[in-house]
Amino acid sequence: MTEIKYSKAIKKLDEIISKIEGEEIDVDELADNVKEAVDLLKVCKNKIEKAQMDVKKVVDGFSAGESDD
Amino acid sequence: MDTSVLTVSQLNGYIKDVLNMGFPSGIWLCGEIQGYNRNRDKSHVFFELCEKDPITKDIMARIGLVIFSGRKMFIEQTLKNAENAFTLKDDIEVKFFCKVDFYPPHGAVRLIVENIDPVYTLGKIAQEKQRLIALLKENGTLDKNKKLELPLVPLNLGLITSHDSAAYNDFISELQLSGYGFKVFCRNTVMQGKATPADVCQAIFELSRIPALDAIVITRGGGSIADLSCFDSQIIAEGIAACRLPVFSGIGHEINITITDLAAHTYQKTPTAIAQFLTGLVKGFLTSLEERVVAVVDGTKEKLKSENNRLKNCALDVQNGTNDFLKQHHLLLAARQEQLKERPLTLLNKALVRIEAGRDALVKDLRVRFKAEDEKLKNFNRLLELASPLNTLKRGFSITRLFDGTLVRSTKQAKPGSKILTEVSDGQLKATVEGGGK
Repeated sequence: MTEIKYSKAIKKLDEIISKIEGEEIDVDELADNVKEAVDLLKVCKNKIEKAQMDVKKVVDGFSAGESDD
Repeated sequence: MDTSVLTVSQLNGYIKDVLNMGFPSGIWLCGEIQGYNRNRDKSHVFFELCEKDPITKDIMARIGLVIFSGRKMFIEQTLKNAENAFTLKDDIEVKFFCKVDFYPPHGAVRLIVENIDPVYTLGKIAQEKQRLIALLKENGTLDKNKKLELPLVPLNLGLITSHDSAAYNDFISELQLSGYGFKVFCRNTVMQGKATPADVCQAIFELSRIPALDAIVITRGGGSIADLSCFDSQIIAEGIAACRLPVFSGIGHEINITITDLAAHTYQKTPTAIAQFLTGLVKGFLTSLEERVVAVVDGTKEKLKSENNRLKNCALDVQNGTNDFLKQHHLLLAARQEQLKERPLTLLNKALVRIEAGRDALVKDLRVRFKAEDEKLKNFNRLLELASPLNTLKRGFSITRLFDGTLVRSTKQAKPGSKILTEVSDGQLKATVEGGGK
């Protein structure tokens, strides 16, 4: 999957959810939309987890670097 | 007195007698020594005492004195007993006990020195010194050099002393002992006697013109009070006051403090002591330098440590903040996930319900309609039944057809002999027409 920005992904997700929340969605589209939303959720979750790990790595790296001198 | 002509010796004899009568015992006489130095190698010492005008310093009176060789030893011993404070020489004030005498061969009055009062000279020297000190203090001469800033590292020194003297060697060897890189520029200077003040002044002037020097040192070894009295000099004090460099002095030994010392920036008692003072300055500077380096290093370490801690805390804050931020997003996503999980099913259920409702409505509707239709049909049936030929047959009517099925409505249709079928309520009768009606 091509890299999508988190904020864009969240926006898209919200659009889909509000569409689903509304009554106007076509049943034919529902499954596809839900699938897309779940994919977006996964992407967002991965991004958050990756960011968390990156931050931890950076901060740990900083703390480790400090003890060198 | 015989009025006849006198010979010179007769006159001188008379004068001598008169004088001897006038001064039957000795007298105490005070004055300033002059012409003493010409007597160096002679057994008897001839010189003069004079009295100067206190203001103009012009000689107002003078008289010749002699110390005979037999008395010389006694006088020298007396001086020695007075702590070797001074020796007889020109320009010093002395108090002698002497006999007034007339020496006929020279026709001159002379005083034969019998004794000396060293206390008088010491007092005079001290008095003169105090007067000078008061004067120089009052006009600020003694303080001027002290106001100069002490050089931080006085390594380049102008030295005023007699070259290769004990003082020179003491001073230099003490500097060398320190191991510091002192550079000494020695100006060989007269350090004893009348010429001293002018030469010292000249030396100060010359050395002060050397740009590289940090300070000037005036030093000489110990001596009698009279030896060192040349350093109780107004012009040396003024030379020091005018000097652009700090002047340090170490003159004499324990007890002597000269005006030169007082005018100097700093004085120590001996050449060795002034050298130690200078090495102490350098050492102090190096120590303070080391302390400062240590302080800078410690301060820097402390600062780095605290900054590091601050950064560490910042990093933790960043981590926590980010974590909070990401956690919020996690919750946001979880909420969306819930929505996604629930909503489509709800939606589909709703759709299903809607469909079922439609179906139910349809079924109900159909049932009603079917019933209505049924009713209608039943009615029709009843009517049909009423109108049905079978019922008519039962009531006794019958239907007659030709064999080809044609209904026989008229007699004309059935000629005699033709075969007909007559339908009654419970079956058919085959018959043959025997005759017509008309």
